[in-house]
Amino acid sequence: MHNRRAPGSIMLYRSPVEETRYDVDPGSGPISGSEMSVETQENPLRVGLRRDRGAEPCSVVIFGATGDLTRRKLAVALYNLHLDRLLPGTYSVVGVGRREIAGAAFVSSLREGIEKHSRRPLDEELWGEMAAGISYVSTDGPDGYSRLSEHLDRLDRKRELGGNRLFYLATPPSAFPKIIEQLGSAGLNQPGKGGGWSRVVVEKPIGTNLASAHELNQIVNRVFDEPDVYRIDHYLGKETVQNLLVFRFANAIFEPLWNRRYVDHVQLTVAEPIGVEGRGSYYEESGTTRDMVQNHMFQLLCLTAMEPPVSLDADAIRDEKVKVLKALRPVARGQVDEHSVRGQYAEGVVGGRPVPGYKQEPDVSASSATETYVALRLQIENWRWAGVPFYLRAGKRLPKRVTEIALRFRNVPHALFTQDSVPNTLALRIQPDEGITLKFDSKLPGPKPRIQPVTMDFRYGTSFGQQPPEAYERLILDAILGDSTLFIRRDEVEAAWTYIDRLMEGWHGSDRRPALPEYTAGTWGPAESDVLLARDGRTWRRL
Amino acid sequence: MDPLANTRVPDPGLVESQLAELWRLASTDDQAVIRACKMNLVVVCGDGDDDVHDATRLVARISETEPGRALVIAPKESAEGGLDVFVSAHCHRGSSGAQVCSEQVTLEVSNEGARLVPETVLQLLVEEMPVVVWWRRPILKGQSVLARLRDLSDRLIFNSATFRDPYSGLREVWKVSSAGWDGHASDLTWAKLEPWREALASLFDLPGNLPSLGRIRRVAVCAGGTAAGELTAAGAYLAGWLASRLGWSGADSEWHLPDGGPVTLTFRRSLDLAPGEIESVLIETEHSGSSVTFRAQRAGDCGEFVRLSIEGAESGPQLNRIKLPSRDEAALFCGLLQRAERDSIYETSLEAAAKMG
Repeated sequence: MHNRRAPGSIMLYRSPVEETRYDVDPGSGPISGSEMSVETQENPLRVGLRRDRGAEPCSVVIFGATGDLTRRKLAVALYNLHLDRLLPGTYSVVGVGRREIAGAAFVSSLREGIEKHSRRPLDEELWGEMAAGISYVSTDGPDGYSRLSEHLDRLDRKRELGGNRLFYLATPPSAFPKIIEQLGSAGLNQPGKGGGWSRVVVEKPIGTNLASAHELNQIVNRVFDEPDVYRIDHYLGKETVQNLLVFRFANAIFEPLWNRRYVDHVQLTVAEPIGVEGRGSYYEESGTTRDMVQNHMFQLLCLTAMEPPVSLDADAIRDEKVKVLKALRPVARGQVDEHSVRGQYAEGVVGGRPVPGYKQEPDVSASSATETYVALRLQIENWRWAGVPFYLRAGKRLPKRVTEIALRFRNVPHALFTQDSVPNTLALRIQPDEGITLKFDSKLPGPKPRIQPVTMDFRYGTSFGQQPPEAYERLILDAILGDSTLFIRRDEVEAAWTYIDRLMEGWHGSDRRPALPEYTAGTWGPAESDVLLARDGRTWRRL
Repeated sequence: MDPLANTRVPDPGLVESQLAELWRLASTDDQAVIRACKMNLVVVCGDGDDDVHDATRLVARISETEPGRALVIAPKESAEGGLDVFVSAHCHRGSSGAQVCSEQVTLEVSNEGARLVPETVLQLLVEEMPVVVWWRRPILKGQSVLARLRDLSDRLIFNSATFRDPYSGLREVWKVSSAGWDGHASDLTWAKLEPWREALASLFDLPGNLPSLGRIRRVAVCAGGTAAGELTAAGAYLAGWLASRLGWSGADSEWHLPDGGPVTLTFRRSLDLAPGEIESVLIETEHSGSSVTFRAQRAGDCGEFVRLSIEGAESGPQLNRIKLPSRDEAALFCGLLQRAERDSIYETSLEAAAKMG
């Protein structure tokens, strides 16, 4: 209620702080202006709705059905899509594994995952509807995939799924080749008996080097055509990452500055305060370079550095991303130390708690040479970016969780003010507290021209109050719709590995043991990482 | 004597300084306040204190996801000098934990002061921010205040479910929104129909059902409404949507398919439903002597589902159920705002709906 006073006076009213979650309709994609007719097999009633095309009825077949990814991410994503009416009227979820488990147990495990991890609470009625379409098939034994095929055919008939199948490989990468080959042998890569489509979704990592990535891609493409292959990097499903393209190409004022003439350097940071979290044996094989740099960081690099695409078609965007990767100047083997730093965390304090060093983690060798921190100095050799270094850093047990892209602009050509001014910086915060910040100098009030840097902020959380969908929701729906824009193409994967392989050769190929300085957990990496920039007269952003 | 001779138009500078003082008072030594502003929201309330309180409550909710400056125009016969002005703030905890606030300027307006509203609003707008006018009053012919507010706005929002006469109300909406104006109109009733449109569209997603769209013979819509007759705004919109999407021609009660075949439109008003809510939609098609019926029916203990069914199809009876999102007026409003671009589907549906009788 308002406190009434005389006109012209001040009232102060505060609404009670509310924590109620509102069921705000999340979808509002661009409206298609194209007219569709009955004759062209497009549904004219779909035009102007949240999705121009309805997601077709299909089976979502998840390999690795009892794994962590399925419970924490995939089941949750499917449930939220169901809740938002974005999935078709009929669909089924088929869990696949080697173990023989009861269907009810599988349904239960998905429910637990949703109850624990969903951004919205479980609705019993809707869960009942979704659960009615969930089943489990064991592929153990020589006829395992035939059984799967028959099961899918039965579902097609019973639930009118049109023979559409989305195969999601949520298994360890070592299982991919066999699964793909078996799908091919069982004819599951072909449309079902009622016609339809057959697609495969593959999780990162796609290989551990160029040769293995190429081999895996060959295996996949022997069975599935490239347009039917969806390689996931879940970073691309994040709203803020998608906003990069909008920010760059929907605003006229930034693009003229987005080049070597005005940009001094670019910093990309992916920092995590967590350690390996019980995945020591996996991390020993991968390290930060394979786990974070080759995929997530290179995707952010591509979106930051790419040329404007000619259209929003999947391939138009991916063509430009590949060009960035191919323009990276390879690092000569003897110069790898000038362009990169690896590090490994030692014991320290993170979030107020003491934490062990990497070598003390379970399943990690006491003499491990695996990096948990990487800093790189990259050069993109094209007209836009020649001479502009891109500094990338990624690591575990850093002081805080932050993923950010920062463009630091060149200083003014002539300093009118005696005190040093801080160069302007445009920072795009991917997570947490997503938003965009522009830092510039302003005059302090007073008789003297004293300068102080200030920031202009846009924060998703305050400007767009509703919760955005999780990345996997967007990606799974896009795979069902057949939109591959947010998925990685084969040549992108191999171009990224080409660069990383040379780096790895430089680190490990010589007759000397590569440097692996330690850094205290809870700090921003080894001192050598600061030297990497100091050599160029630059410093890392203090985050 | 000019009845407005003694009317005081609020000094915009004074209002701005009061707002600045408001922000200063709102922040404390250890807690900064973030002032967020994405738009100017001009809310023209209906008669009576209840609607003003309702509007203020809604503005507080809306500002959590769509922050801005709200100018709430409250009819008040006793308004001193024709126009009284009050400032206030709506605050909530943002995702980062900081206090995020939007501002509200309430203008109490007498009948005489109403003529000054558009100019007063113009002077109080936050520059370079979109202007959204939410007209919560009846829409009648010749409303100059509405026309002038429309001219300074980018968006007009109505709720046709509250129209006493949807037939003439929708026609007025069509006229106001289509004549010589760069902005566009939206209707909360139309927004509420989206889940029903999605449900109906899904009935025809399967390739086997798609040709039935060219064979419709009868559409029957039952919806809640405030009018005395059977035609409701929601019913008219759904029928208008089908007509515009499928290329029908006609007016009042006579409509035809592109091939000239007749389509019968039947409307029924439900006394058990709130205005703007749909009870059922039935679409009957006919081809080579056999008919297929597509039905969307509200279901569930609280009417929270739409039950979809198809009877007479070659593939046999089909049944599906979709949960309707529970969105109150504030959520609907925010959903509309999040679609900043012009909704051409709405406009063509409105044009057709305005011809229904």
